[in-house]
Order: sequence, then C-alpha cells, then structure tokens
Amino acid sequence: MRIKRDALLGFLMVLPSIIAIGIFVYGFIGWTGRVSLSNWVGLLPNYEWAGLKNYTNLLFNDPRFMVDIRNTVIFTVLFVLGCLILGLFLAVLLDQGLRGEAFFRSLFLFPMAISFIVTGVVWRWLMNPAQGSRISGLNLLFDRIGLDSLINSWHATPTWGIAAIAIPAIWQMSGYTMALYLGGLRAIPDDLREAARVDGASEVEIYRHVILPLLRPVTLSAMIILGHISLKVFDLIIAVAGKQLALDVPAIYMWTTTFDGQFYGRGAAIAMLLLLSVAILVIPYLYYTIRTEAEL
Amino acid sequence: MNNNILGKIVFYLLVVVVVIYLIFPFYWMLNTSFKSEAQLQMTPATFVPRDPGGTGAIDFTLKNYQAVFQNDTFLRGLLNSLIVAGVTTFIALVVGSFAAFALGKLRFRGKTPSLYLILAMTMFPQVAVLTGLYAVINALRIPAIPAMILSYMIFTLPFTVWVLTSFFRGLPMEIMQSAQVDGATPFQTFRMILLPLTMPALVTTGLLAFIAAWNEYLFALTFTSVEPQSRTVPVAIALFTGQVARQEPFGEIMAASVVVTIPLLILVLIFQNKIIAGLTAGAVKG
Repeated sequence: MRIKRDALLGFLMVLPSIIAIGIFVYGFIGWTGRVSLSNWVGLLPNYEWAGLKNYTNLLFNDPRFMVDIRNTVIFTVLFVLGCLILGLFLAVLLDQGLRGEAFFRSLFLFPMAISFIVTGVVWRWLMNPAQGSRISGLNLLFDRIGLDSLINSWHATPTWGIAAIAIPAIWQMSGYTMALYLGGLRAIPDDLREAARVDGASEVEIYRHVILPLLRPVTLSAMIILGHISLKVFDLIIAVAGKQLALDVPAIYMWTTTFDGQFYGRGAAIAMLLLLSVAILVIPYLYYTIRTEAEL
Repeated sequence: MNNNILGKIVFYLLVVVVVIYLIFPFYWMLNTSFKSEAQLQMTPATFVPRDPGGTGAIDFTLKNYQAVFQNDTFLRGLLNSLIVAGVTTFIALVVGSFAAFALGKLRFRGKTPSLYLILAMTMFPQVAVLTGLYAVINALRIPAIPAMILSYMIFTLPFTVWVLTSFFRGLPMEIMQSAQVDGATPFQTFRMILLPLTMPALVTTGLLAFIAAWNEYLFALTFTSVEPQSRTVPVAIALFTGQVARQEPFGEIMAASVVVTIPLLILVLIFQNKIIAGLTAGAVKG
C-alpha cells in the first residue's frame, strides 16, 4: 500500500520537471534537428527535405566554419588549462590557512557572479589595442611599470586574436574552478597528510604524490564544466569585440546566420553540431557520475 | 638554501601577479565609472580620476551614476531582470525540489530513466533550442518576459534537480521513517520535515540559479529584439555600447556595470561558504 502511494507521489512530483524538459529541451532539439535537414532559407518555414546537405556544406565547404572550429579549439585549450592551473593554484594558496583567507576567497569568487557581458565590456577597455599616444588599459599599465615588451594588440592580433579572449574568460571562471578544488581539498582527510608527513614527505611532495592524485575527479568535473562553457561561448566575444569574422565561433555563426541572414537550415545544423560536441563531452561523464551516485 | 629563497620570491611574485589580474578589472571599472567625459578623453588614461585642466588634482564625478539612474532603459532593465531572475529561481526551486525529493527519497518505476532524462540536459547548448523557441514564442505571441522565464527554466531546472537530489539522498532515511510512523504522509514529510532540512541547499541552488538567470544574454537578446521595453540588464548594457556608435559613453557603461554587479557581489559575500558547498555537491561527486 505504502509502496503504491510512494510510487504515485513520486511520479506526480517528477512529472512537472519531465514535462518541462521534455517539451522545452527534447522537443525543441528535435525540431532543430528536423530543420537542420531542410532547405529553410528566409522568413517562411520550409521543411523540404534536404538530407545532410547543410552538414556537408558546413564541414567540407565552408571556410567560415573552419575558422570557427579552429577558434573554438584554441580558445577551449587555453581557457580550460588556464582555469585549471589558476584555480588549483588559488585553492592550494587558500588551503595554506593564510591570514585573510575569507577575504581572498570571496575576492576570487566574485568574477563568477558577474555576467559575461559586463566582463567583456570591462575587458574590452582593458585590452584596448591602441598604442602610442592613445595607449590605454593594460598596455598603459605595462608601459608604466616598464614591461613594454608585453604591450600587444590583444584580440586585434591577426590570426591569434581569439587567444586574447581566453584572458577575460579565465578571469571569470578561475574562481569557480578554485571553489571546486577547494571543496575537493577539504574532503581529503587530514590523517592522510599527517601520515605522509610522518613518513618524511615534504609539503611539495605531499601535494604531488598524495593530494593531486586524490583531486583527479575534481579535475575531471572541472574540465567537463569548463569545456562545455567554452564550446558554447557567445556573449563574452560579442561584448569584447562584437561580431568579427576573425573571432567567430559556432554559437555566433549560428546566431547571425539564423537571425541576421535567415538561413534557418544552416543555423540549425550548426546548433546540432554544437550539441553533438557538447554531448560527446558531457554524456559519458554524467553517466559515470549518476551511476556512482546511484550506488551510494 | 639559496634556491629556497629564490623559490619563495618567485612564488610571492606569482601571487602578486595573480591577485592584480583578479583585482585590476574591478578597480578599473570603479575608476572609469567616476570619470567625466573629459577625463575619459585624457591621454594617457589616469589611474584615478584627475582634473583634466592640467592641475592633476583628484576629481571624482558622480555624473555617470546620476545618468544611469535617470536612464529609463537601464531602470526598466533592472526591474525586468529582477522579475525574470526572481520568478525563474522561485519556479525552479519549487519544481526542482519536488522532483529532487521524488528522485532522492521515493521508490517508483521509471525513476532511473527520469534521472537520466533530466540530468542529461544539464549542460546542453542553448542555441540548440533557440530558434524553435523563438518561432513558437512569435507564433503564439508570448510576451518576452514570460518567454524568458519559461526558457530560463530549461537551464536552471536540470541543475537544480541535480544538486537537490544529492542533498535529499544524503538525508538519513530514518527521518522519513519516523515521520511516517508518526502518521505523516510522504508529502507532509517532504514539506514539513525534509524541506526545512534542505534549506542550505535551497539557498545555494537558488542563488546559483538567480545568478545564471540574471546574467543570461543569448535568449534575452533574441526574445527582446522586437520588444525593447522588456530588455534585461545584460542586453541593455550590451546595447548601451551600440547606441552611440562613434562615442561610447564608457563612464556610464561602467557605472551601470558597477550597479548590476554590486548586488551579486553582496550575495556572493554572504553565501560564499554555501556556494562552495553547493558546487561541491553538484559537481564533485565522482
């Protein structure tokens, strides 16, 4: 009796979430998938079957999409690595129990609460490519402290401009990564460090051989979370540099081709490719996480 | 020994560089927001607002803040953001905690598929549903604000369910059993006993959902493109920039950025320990 009642209640309580996600996520992804296989160009819906044409065009016949892939790869590698290194560094720093820990912790966390738009607008000013008498932002700072060799044109740099976008992105998310690592560090029992110390390990050795291996699951989580953020990046680039072809990424291409150009079929195909790349990253991780959680 | 000292110097130098990297943007935001148009034009730019006349005296102006608070687009944006983020958070917490309780504490058929179905979408890219949503919203003539609230559910809900489920699961089964021995129905147990216990988790997930909704740009940009009066703050700030093409009102943009950022910084300051706990619960169960 009670089990039956539980079952009904459970079903009813999950239902709203299932309906919401079923319709708004799966339903619309299905719709996008269908549109991606159509010839829809222009304002009026056109579901005429086009097979994989939109995909093959993008992947084999579209220089802009090649730029997008290249930019995404560069950005992702720099962004994820930067956040992991800086996040771990900050977490270990805070873990030393230094004075003013609470102050620094909130300082490091602050950027994650700010929108990518605000971050982008501030960093556009900081990464002002102007030099000479119009010098400004970070270039000015470098000039003042005598590090002239660091002065550069940031995101306006030809070919490698996208790398400069990783700087504000790392700024924004390294605190978040730090929080993940800090959580992981706090979960490591003190006995382990104590034991290593008794065995004569130095602090550096303890970190290298005891703590870092134990933080591997955190690193994995952080990589997945940061990786999917970087695949989806849109607002930050818009806010720093606007819609420039040199700094184009799939999400921006999708938006402009759909809403400025009315190429619905092509836009949908970009969205599906993006979904696929996020899924390849996220699904195995979720599967693993849910399974381990379910065993608890 | 020498090596040790050198190592320490390098280490502290690194700390200083990192701290400057993290603080400088905030500082520059504040600095710029207190500068007048003439002061912004000064070359080279100054590290504190100074008198542009040449005396070099420090000279703060509140003009940008006054302008921001007299700017209807921005004030409307604040109100819109508050409504959208507030309602989104509330609905996500109610619906999410229902689902999380069922998934974390009840036994029923279809539980595992439900869990997969919801959680698989924790990180999907929003562009994958954007066009379809836009078409439907246009066809049904749904105003932008409810449209944003509805669409924000799709990225706040999976996350909320995920974090809350692990919290519910962590609560001892004995609490439920003893409540049921006392004659409480499962729903009463949920509402009167378990929900108060998950308060810390609700605060964390609510805060993270609020931040995500407050900062969302892609959907807001798309849905308010034909309905400017419904623009949220991120859209308003991004457009501030485009409005006057030749001369950006940079002081005002920075003042607006400071104004929208401060409430969030205060929230982070108050709840920082809970945020770390919440992130850990959501992401580090590996």
